[in-house]
Amino acid sequence: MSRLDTAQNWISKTVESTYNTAESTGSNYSQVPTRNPFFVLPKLEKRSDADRAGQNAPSHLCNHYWSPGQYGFVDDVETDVPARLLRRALGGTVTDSLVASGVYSHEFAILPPQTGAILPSFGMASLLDTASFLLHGCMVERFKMSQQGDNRAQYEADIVNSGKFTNPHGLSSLPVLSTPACMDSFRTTVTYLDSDNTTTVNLGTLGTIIEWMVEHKNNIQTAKRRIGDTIQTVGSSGSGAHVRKMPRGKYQTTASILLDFADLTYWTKSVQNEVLTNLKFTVIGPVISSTYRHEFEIIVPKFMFDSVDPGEDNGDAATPINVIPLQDPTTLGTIKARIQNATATLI
Amino acid sequence: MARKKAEQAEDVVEIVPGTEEFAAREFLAKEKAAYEERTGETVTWEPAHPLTSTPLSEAPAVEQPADKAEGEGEA
Repeated sequence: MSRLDTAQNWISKTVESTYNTAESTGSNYSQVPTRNPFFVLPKLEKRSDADRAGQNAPSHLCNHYWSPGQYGFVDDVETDVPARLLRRALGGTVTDSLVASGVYSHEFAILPPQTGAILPSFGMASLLDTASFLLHGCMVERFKMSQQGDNRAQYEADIVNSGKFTNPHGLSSLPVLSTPACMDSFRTTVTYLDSDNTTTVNLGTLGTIIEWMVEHKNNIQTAKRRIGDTIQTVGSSGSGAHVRKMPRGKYQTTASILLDFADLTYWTKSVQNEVLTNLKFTVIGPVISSTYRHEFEIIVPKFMFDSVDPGEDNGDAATPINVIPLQDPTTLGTIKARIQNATATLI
Repeated sequence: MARKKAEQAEDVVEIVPGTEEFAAREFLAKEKAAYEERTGETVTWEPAHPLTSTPLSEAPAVEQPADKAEGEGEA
């Protein structure tokens, strides 16, 4: 009997140069830390003749398409694997820069729909005893970062794939999990620039944040099936097709903050439709060098507050605020990100 | 005729550095080049000419967390 929590998953450090062709060198993979253990068994969709008039039950089953699958990772936010997943979820190009000796900054935004709809794809290996698979053509469907109370900031990432796989995975020297850096919950900062364009409000300094979250969904079209799609066979006869393309749909970004109720500031800003800028959720980790720390930051460049309802937190009055991201005039998107870590590139 | 042409010319907004319109074009050009290299697809989309010009807002210095500005304060 296999224990589910012995399952291991890796994502490639590189992105595919040709869709559905995963990285083939094991050392170019990173093991994914997750608190949500799962193992992979590619699923083959079936068709039958059960709906034919005169049939009481199917007379046969036919293989159809390999399902796109959906695999979810959940763990602490940190500047290695979760940063890669966020970068691939947004899809824009990365600007790497040297901040100080051994300290690097990586900035990226959403791939503009005007440019294209194909997000960066990558390989994912999954291993639980004989359930050894390499999934090709993986993309990040959803990325969420959140923090509640004194808990460390968490990320959730959903991965979808084209249906193409290799069994067994065929990769050698897949690396062990490198222990994620400790991103202390109490160092998180949430700031924004007020509508006067000069005052930076630091909600952390005010000490009123109960919880917050930012989520980006790509609505990837996993069922873009076309006659002539590639056939994948198991054994000699177990055949099904998989897609050759998975374009992004219309993406959605949502964000929210729950604050202790202090006054009518946020209610007023919502009523007056104030346009605010640079909402930054910054999760801060250990020192890299001098005063430079690991930082994982999601930025909403331009936003407004939706209608504010009265809220509650353990009997205390609270202000739940839904943030409506507006289109950033420069990147034409709704969010962007900045990662600060000790590696020169972020792919 | 010449006066009419001159008036029309005044309506055309120039895209100059330091404006949101210029920054957006620079950003899109970079994304377009990277996308074409990554996917092999040709991107033909071009942004429409703006009617107004908006200067980029200068981001004020973000307030640093206390421990960052004053040193760690840890044992």
